[in-house]
Amino acid sequence: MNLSLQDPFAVAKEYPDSLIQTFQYGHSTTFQFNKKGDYLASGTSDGSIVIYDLSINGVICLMESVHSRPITSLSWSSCGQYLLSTSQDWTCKLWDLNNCETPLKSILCDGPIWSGMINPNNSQEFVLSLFEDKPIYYRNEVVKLETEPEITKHLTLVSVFTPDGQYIFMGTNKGYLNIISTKDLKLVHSFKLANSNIKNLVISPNGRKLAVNSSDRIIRQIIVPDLINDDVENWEFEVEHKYQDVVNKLQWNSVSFNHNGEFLVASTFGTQSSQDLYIWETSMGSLIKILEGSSEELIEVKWNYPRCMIASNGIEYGIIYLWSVEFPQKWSALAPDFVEIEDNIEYQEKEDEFDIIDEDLLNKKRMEEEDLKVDIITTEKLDARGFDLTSKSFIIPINYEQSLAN
Amino acid sequence: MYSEVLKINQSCSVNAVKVSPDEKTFATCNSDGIITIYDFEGTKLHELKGHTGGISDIDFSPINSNIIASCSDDLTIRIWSINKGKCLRILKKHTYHVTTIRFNSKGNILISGSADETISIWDLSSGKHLKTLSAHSDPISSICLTPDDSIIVSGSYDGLMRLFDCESGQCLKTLIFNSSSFGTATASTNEVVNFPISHVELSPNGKFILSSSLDGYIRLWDYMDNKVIKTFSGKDNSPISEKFNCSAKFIISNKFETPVVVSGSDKGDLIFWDVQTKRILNIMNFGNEPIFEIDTINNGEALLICSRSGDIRLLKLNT
Repeated sequence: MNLSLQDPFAVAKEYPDSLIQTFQYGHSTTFQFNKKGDYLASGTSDGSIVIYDLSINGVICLMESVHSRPITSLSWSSCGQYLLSTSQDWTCKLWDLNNCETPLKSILCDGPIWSGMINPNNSQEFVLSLFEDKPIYYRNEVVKLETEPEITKHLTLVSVFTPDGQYIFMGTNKGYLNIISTKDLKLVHSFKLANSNIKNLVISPNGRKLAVNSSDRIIRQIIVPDLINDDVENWEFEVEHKYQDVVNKLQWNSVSFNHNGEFLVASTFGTQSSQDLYIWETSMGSLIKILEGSSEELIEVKWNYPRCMIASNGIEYGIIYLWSVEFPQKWSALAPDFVEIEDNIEYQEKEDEFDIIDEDLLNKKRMEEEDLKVDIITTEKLDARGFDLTSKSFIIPINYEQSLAN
Repeated sequence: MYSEVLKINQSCSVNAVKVSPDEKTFATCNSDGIITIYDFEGTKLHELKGHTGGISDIDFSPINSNIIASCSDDLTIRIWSINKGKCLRILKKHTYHVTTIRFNSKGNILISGSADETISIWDLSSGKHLKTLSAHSDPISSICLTPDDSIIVSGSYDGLMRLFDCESGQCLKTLIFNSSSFGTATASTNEVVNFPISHVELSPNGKFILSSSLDGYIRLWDYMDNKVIKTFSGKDNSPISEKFNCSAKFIISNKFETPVVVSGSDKGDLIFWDVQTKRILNIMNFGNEPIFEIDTINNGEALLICSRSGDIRLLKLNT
């Protein structure tokens, strides 16, 4: 509700412009915002999970050394109660944040895990991409997913759910995109996008756009067909834009869309060349903003939709950098009889400015105006930026008896 | 409409009464510096002692009915575990009496207002002091938070209500009522007196502020519009409270046709108004000492009130 009292032009900004905060508890190797955008979970190189509360910019939950090797990915359930962590120590763990002492599930795989993601529809199901192994789907038990049986050494590097949880998009080291239905876990569609590794797959939260980052230094922006209503045979994946750095031939480390897919942000590979984030506007494919301020190469980049915030972690020191929109303090808010003006103005006295009005008349008029009906119960459904306020998100309980070092 | 079902007496002024979030117990605090936890039979369950001055306000953690915070004239705020009967943490920063405290809805932030004219924001996961908001020029009497925890509304004896952004600490808006202008403030230079604000309360949807002022009126503000939209007064337009901080609450119950505002008065009355028509629905009298605080249970099925005489009463809604 604070946004409705802020400068509407600052609230209407669609992408962040300034570095506002850094988090540096441990060396962050991966991080993820929850859906409501009030928590940020960070996985560290020593296998710990740290959860920051963004309203206090401090640690709210600390799970120390829950993995024996660096954490490779984190994924929140839609409700915000469960968190999936994957690690190089060959295990993945599903946590109920009501009780961070022991994991709800712990699965030992046959090798290190690249990444994992919880099904947006079901917080107890998830998909894992493994190092030199077949991807795994967990539904009450471990299911190995058969993606492309004809080709050997065709390895899945990334796997993500569509926002509605109906399909899983998987990228391979041969540049193929495989689509698996979550209903029966069967391959429904497969096609070749590039000649090299697919490093990242990102689907915009509205499900309309897909960004594929591959080792050939190109980010391909693809229009996703209507997966629900169209038949599989009619699915067409049209490349809308290709983003590449023609001068320096930079590799892109990671990409992320904003909430409606109108903007795309990417981090760049290489320490000397660039430590910045690039934001493109996706309809024309033009670069509109470079976010500066980090002192190291940035790896992952994620967009926090409700807060209009972009976060990225550094490779060298493992610091998480947060960019957002800053609101200037309006000094007239402190003294309502003052007005902020840009230039001197010659004041014109209003006709009735110093009129003496009879108190009783004024009171009468005031009481008449008060007869309108007032609704003190109905809450707003959307915030000033248009995000849903009705869905409840899990609140991580804090332990009042011990203090966390921030 | 309500009838008394339980009465407990403490020997000194009871300054606040709060129902626990699980609605199984309630807590009171008094001027002797003691917090007492009761069940709804009136049985005393726990007594929390440690403050060296009178306690002005208490608040339960919304996520844990075993945790209660208190603020006192001994300049400290304490966080207590009720089961253990132990003080878990002492928060010190204020330089004068701490008058009011509130948890945010996640239970990880505590906001305190003090007679030292400042508001403090505390992070309870680390026990650290996060921010001081010093924008008032007289003691803070009351604070409340919007349901989404984003705005702090403060009321002060300087006659102002200020709205602060909870995260950035920025002042977002100031509301002043003075009789000669029209809802908004225009006169700050002449000799217009702004009456102290004694209590602020937000409507259930967080869009309106109910302010009690020591000019004797309770006003409902549309803060987006800087406008008073309802004014409530005592019987025959008499003042409600001119000396004491008597809190006011909303009752949203399907037993009433419209929402109801209830407030204590400095003459021992409990007054109920229809929010829409501003008409008094009922007045109940409980002696002649001011009723300081009211808390509602189960959507107004029952009310708890406490007064300066040390009486705590449980009132049940008649069916």
